[in-house]
Amino acid sequence: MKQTVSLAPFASPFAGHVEMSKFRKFLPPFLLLSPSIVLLLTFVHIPAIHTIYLSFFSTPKGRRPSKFKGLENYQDMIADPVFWKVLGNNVIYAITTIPASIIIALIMAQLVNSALPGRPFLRFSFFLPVVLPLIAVGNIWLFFYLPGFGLIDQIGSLFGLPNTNILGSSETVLWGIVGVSIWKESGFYMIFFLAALQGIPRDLKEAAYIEGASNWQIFRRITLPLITPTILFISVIATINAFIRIEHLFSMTQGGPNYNSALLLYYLYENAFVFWDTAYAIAQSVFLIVLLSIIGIGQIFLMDRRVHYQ
Amino acid sequence: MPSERPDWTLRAPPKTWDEQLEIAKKLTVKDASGTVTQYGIRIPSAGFPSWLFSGIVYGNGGKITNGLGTATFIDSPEVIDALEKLVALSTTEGVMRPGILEWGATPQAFFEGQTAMMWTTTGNLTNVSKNAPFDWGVAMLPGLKQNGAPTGGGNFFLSKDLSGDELSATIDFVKWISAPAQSIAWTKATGYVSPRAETYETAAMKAFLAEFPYPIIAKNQLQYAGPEFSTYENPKTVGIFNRAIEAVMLGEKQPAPAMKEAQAAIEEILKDYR
Repeated sequence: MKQTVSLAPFASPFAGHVEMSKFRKFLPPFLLLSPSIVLLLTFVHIPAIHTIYLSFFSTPKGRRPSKFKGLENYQDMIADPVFWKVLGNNVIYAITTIPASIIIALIMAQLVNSALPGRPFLRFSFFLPVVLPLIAVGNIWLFFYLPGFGLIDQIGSLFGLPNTNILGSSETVLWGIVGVSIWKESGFYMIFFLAALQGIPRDLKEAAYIEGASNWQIFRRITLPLITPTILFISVIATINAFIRIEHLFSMTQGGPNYNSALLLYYLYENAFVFWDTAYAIAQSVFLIVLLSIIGIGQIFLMDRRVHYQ
Repeated sequence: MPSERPDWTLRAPPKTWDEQLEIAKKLTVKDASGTVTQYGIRIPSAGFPSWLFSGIVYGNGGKITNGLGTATFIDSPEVIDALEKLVALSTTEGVMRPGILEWGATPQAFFEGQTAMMWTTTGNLTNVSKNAPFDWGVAMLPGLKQNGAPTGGGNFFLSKDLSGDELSATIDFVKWISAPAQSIAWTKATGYVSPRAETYETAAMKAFLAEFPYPIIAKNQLQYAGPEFSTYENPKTVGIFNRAIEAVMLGEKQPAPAMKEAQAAIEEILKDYR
């Protein structure tokens, strides 16, 4: 009955015909979706396809117009040792920042969800990094990391530790960036976990207590399964962030020294807007889009089987 | 501009690289556990190490580019030797903090006594004069074989398509911004060298220099200075040069192979422009 009513304005003299009933069934949702389809096509899908097309051409330079190069931009990318270095950096960055920030976020959410004294203050301080722009966070940490008189060296010197040059050595600079990212992102993910924890019905936990379950058993058997949709959501967001959030590199290291802290998008930016080698940057963009699509879709498929939606 | 902490160095600043090294060794202070509490010297390198490094190359009688933007000479013996000497400061000699050193933190390191001497931009002179909590001095950059220095600054470009009012207005603006009145204010506020020689002949500048003479050292050093690295596709070529210097300073590569590799990569880009 409900459907007939909603379709009434689209009723036609051919009602009852199989083709037309299909048409009538799909037309209203299509019309309702069309504004967003038009917007997405214009600003996302068509530019993305155009980008793939442009990746087969050379960079236009002064007198020399762009010409067809086939797969040459991609061959250059494969032959570029810096590309592999920054990709490697990005993989290390992703596989360290994502699990670390998710685990810390979950611990913080548990803390601020329990009846601790000073809970509003804790919530505020855990959330504070989220409201700061990443570029400003980079500047703050730049001072923490300063060799000799930065916060870390000042604290270290109290315990007789030698001075560090975290952002000035190839072994440590990437870890300096990883630390900033974890500090910045954990508070953001905490908000989602906090919402998820508060959505867990209290009677489940009470029933478990009556049955004599320990805190760990409650967390393992009740909390964790019920927040898996949130974990999936956060891990997708975190993976994307690990590849697209690079503002701190601008204020801290400019990807240096010698590309030791450069991430894929930063190198792409450098090729596009510092070297003006736009064709090469476009090929890298296509690589990044494909990589993120595979990771995103893969994550959803892989985790969907283990996720318990309520 | 190397600036030094007081003691005896103020009266006799180093004139050559060897003198600088000797003084830096004497000014490197270690505590009981062997940790360095004051380094002898600091030459900042973050982001664009090639800039101050080119001053060392000029002091070594070398060249970095052909001046036409179509060729570089960064695999020449003078450049490689200069790089070896620079890296030795923080490795074998142990008078400079190892790793890449920030520009912004360099004056602070000087004020805090973390380094006894520093090389930095003339644009820091006013900052040092206002904030150094001790007596200090300025000297020309000590060279390996002779005096040498890099030059910096920016350029005004006039488009060839300009004409009529636009062209004359553009020229007026460039004349105005480089005129003595503007330059003196700029030099007083920062320490930067004024772009026109006539500025140094004005009464206002003479009065300022009579009170605070250090900016004249940078101006007098200009006769030994060489041009900044500049070629076609400069962001790319100078990037290759900078990253190669960083790789050597980080201990990832040896000076000679790093410079030869960088020269070959730059050659690949510049060959299209000859």
